[in-house]
Amino acid sequence: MEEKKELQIEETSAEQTVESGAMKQTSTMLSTEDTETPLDKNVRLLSPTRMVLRRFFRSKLSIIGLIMLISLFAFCWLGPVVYSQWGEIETDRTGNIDYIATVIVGADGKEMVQMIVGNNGINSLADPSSAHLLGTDEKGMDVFTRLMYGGRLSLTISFLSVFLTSAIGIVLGGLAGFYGGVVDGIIMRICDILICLPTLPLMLILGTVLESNGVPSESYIYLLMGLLSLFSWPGMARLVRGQILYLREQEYMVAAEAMGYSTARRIFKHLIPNILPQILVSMTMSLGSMILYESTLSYLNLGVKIPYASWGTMIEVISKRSDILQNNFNVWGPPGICIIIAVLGFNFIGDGLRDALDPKQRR
Amino acid sequence: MENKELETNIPESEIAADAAVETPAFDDAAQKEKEEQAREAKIAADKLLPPDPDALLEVRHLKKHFILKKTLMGKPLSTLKAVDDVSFTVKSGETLGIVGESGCGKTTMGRTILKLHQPTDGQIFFEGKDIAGYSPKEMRALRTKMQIVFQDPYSSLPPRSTVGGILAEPVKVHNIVPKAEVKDYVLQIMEQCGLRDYYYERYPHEFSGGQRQRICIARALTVDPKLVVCDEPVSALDVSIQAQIINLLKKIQEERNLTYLFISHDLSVVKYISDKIGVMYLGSMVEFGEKDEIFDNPMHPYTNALFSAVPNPNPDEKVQRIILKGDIPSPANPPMGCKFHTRCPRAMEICKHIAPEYKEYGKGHFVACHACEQES
Amino acid sequence: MSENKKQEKKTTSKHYLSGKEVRAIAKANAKEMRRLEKAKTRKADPSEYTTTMKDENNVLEVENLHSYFFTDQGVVKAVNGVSFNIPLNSTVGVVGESGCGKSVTSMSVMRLLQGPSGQIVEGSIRFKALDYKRDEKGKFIPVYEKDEDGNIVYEPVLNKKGEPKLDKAGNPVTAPKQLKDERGLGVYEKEEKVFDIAKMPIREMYRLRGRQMSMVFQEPMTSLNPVFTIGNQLDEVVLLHIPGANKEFAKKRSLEMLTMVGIAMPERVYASYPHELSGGMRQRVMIAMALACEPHLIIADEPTTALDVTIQAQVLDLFNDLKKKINSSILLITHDLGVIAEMADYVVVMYAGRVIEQGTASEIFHHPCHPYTQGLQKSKPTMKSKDKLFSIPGNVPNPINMPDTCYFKERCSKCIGKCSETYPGMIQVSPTHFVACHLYEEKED
Repeated sequence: MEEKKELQIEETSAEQTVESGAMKQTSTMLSTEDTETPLDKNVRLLSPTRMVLRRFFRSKLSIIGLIMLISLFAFCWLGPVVYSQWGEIETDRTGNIDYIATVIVGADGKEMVQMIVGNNGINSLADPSSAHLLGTDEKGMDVFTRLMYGGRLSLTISFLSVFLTSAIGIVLGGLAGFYGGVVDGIIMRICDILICLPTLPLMLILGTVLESNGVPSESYIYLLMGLLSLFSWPGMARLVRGQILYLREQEYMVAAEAMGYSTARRIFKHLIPNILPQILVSMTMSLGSMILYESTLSYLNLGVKIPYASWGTMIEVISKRSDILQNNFNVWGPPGICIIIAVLGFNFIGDGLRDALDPKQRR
Repeated sequence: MENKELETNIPESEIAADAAVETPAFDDAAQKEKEEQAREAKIAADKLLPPDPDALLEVRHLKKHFILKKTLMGKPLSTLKAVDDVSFTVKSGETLGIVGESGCGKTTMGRTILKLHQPTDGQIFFEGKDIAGYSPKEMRALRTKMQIVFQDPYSSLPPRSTVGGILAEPVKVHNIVPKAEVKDYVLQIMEQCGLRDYYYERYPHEFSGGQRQRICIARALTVDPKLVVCDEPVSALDVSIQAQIINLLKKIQEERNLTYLFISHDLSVVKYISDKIGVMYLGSMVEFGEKDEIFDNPMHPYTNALFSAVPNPNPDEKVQRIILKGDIPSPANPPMGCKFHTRCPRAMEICKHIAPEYKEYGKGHFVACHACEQES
Repeated sequence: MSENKKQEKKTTSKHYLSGKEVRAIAKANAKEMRRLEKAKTRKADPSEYTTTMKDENNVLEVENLHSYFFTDQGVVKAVNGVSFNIPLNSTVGVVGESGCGKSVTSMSVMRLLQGPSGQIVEGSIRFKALDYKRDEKGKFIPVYEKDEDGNIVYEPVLNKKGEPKLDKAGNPVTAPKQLKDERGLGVYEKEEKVFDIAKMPIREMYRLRGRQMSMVFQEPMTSLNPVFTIGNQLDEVVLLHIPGANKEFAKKRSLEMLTMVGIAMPERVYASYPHELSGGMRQRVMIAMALACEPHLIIADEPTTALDVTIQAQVLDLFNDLKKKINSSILLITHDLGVIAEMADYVVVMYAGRVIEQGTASEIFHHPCHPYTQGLQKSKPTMKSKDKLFSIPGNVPNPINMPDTCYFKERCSKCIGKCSETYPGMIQVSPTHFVACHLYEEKED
């Protein structure tokens, strides 16, 4: 380390002598020329990306969040490839077939044995074992496998709806912030109205309407989350508008106008890249809440329909059968833990990103 | 923003004025109205005059009013007269220095001339064409001819692009040179501004204030402008760096025959760089003329006070200076009559009621003051 | 093209710190910062931080002060071995460009450096204070009235109704009578003590801040609390720092101070909120606040930089007036040579964390010795200058990993061979004039 430094100093001093020679030359040519000294040679800075990365990785929480999320994603997408014993909606029928055999006397006087199949061979509510790592649920489906497929669905849906929300929010917030005046007034009033609407009751009503109109149950959750996005963009729009109002006052935006750049160029090349960090942070944070929302909707039986799996649906069984709540933690516990991990992970990363991208906001 | 702050201030002078005994009402209301009418007639008459053929920039009765409060119907309740009836001409290759204290509207005036603010009234002749009514689209083509350098070198460069990106963008947008030559062209301008070629890949946060200001100047030069509005370009810099930037601006002016509108609150800097000087107070030009004329023979009491307020760097030479009492009144609520009368050491009764006319005394030396009028 | 890119990449990686280096820096910093933070909060015996002045005529002696900032890029030696004295009742001006460490010096004197990254690492700041004497419990010791024989005078204690209080036996209760000064306030015993501020635990600083030394900041717009009236804020200072002061006295004192700083209607300003006042008025209030407790030392950190020229003239005029009226020294920090010339008796010129020249104001202005001081004076256009501006080339260096050579050598026009060998020591030019430049060494021999 020491040696390295010395070397550097030697190098720089050699450069300096060369430069000072050059300086003298120019100064003799243009006797009054000012020559700038180059960037401080004794100071080496962090590159912009490294600065952000460094601040991000300095916080232990963001590293924990990152690890949590990476393992969760690996679990959901790679898991089914490795552990392919059971399918998502495959019922384990290796259980005992129970018969209830009764001897009845027929009308003709012959005795017949009537056999009523009680369990149909479904291995339901099995305890964790080597065949079912987390046991099975009341329909005999493998909990571990469903956890992975459910995770895929939950994460995909939350990502989709967050992107939709952000897209609407950025466009409308951007318009409001950039143009101001009447446009701003109208968009912000719409925001206010939307924020006043109670989302959950509305979703319940919409769920019923969809059901009665015969919408296929697989597309339910997508429709509902889409609608949810339509209701939740005001937060993003307000954020973007606020940022744009602040940035618009910055002198480099005035400079861009003075340069004669077109409006579209000013918005997309100069404004958006500068608000991207805030948008990114807010998106990460809302991913967590979207996962919660999806679970809530599924729990209320509005979302993903059984037999398809999502973390919310998997917990939903306990609302119907309290004996499962009491005796079979292996059925509803794991999806709950997954939800917690996902939400915490997103929030940790969001916090870390915010601190890394905007050092001024740090405590 | 600056103005908003001022708006809420209670200037000391106002406080003091409250205590003062109520002065008897000025009974000559008719005369006042007459004066107003004469002024309006003059503005209307001036509007029809052809533009000065020698001038690169001619500003006539420029006004920029900001509406602070509106009624529900959109009628203005109170307006802030940031620039209130300013006229001057600048010839090609000249430097016009504008001095004044914060809140006097010098920055707003600079930006209004560039049409970054839409002027409320008045004419701006640039190369003989009145650009006051130009639409943003028409202005976009003109932007290559007029540029601006800002005060704060930290907020005037976009933080997320490289120096090369910042400098090359206007060249590409306005098609100044063919695409293949853009980098060479930019490097050549960078060299002219004393920037090393390897700065091309660097980000603005790596540079000190002086170097950033050089980048800003280089950015203004990329489109090869004729007029550059320098809005306090050295105020945020250290003394030794200030000198570098001022020398750079002078050098570039000689090389490219640029015209500067140099806005600053620092009198010594303005004196050094300018050919003509305009002194502004609360949105109005109070004195305007050739540099030597203004400095050797300042006529307006405000100009006098401003000159004597500059600290003297000789510790053994104690000068008796004119110290103005009170603060600048709020531009949202300027005093009646001459705007300076609340702080003026030579204030008379007439100053409180009638605004003095902006008149020519000697060649090219304009002053707006009743005291000067009486003396001449 | 590809070769070009490669080269670019090479220069970039050389210019930027690698991850390994950053980690090494961060590790070293964390260790050092922990040690210094501990020293700041430790329990220390008063004898550890009381010393004696080298010269009894000084209020403040700064000796070999090192204040560092521990950053990710390395240790910034913002103040790197600064020494200067402030004599009684005089004004010392510190001039320098941004980043030269002048503000950090003042912050170090007030112990206001933002930890954990900013720390005083070495050196001593000796400050002569007239501190209140304390008993074992930390309470102030009152001075009692004495009769001609030297016996303490006792006075009866009154109860709430104003009648003499009686003890159980029916005898009036008496207590020693405290001496009152002309303002009607009780007198407490005081003693002259010299503190080494650099070694004081941070919680002992409340004895000095505000009461013995106070500060006027650059930004009058943000240095007053917007939710309290001016009166509230002024009274608070008085109530906190003058023992025995009640609200009535505090208000009287506040109004007195406001009048002293030239505010025409003190009553009205007393009742107004900061946002109702202009910048110049606020700076006057800040000065009033700093003066309220008659401190020994006032630190003015760029007091006029944020103000307009005409307002600056008012404030400078006020300072010059006050200098005669009050019994304290001023440490004036500014980048404006004109302001220094107007105000200061002694001038300290700083560059890149070190003092490069110091002397009386007229010495510095009429016979500047250091090439930097000379350049600084020539580069400022004055009202009289007409020829081309002199400019010092280059920038103020960033004080990380500074080599042990003259810091100014790259920008200096009079550079000699010795400049790249060692950092020059302080050379005495006249009894009061010192300069750190190799050019003057031969003259000394």
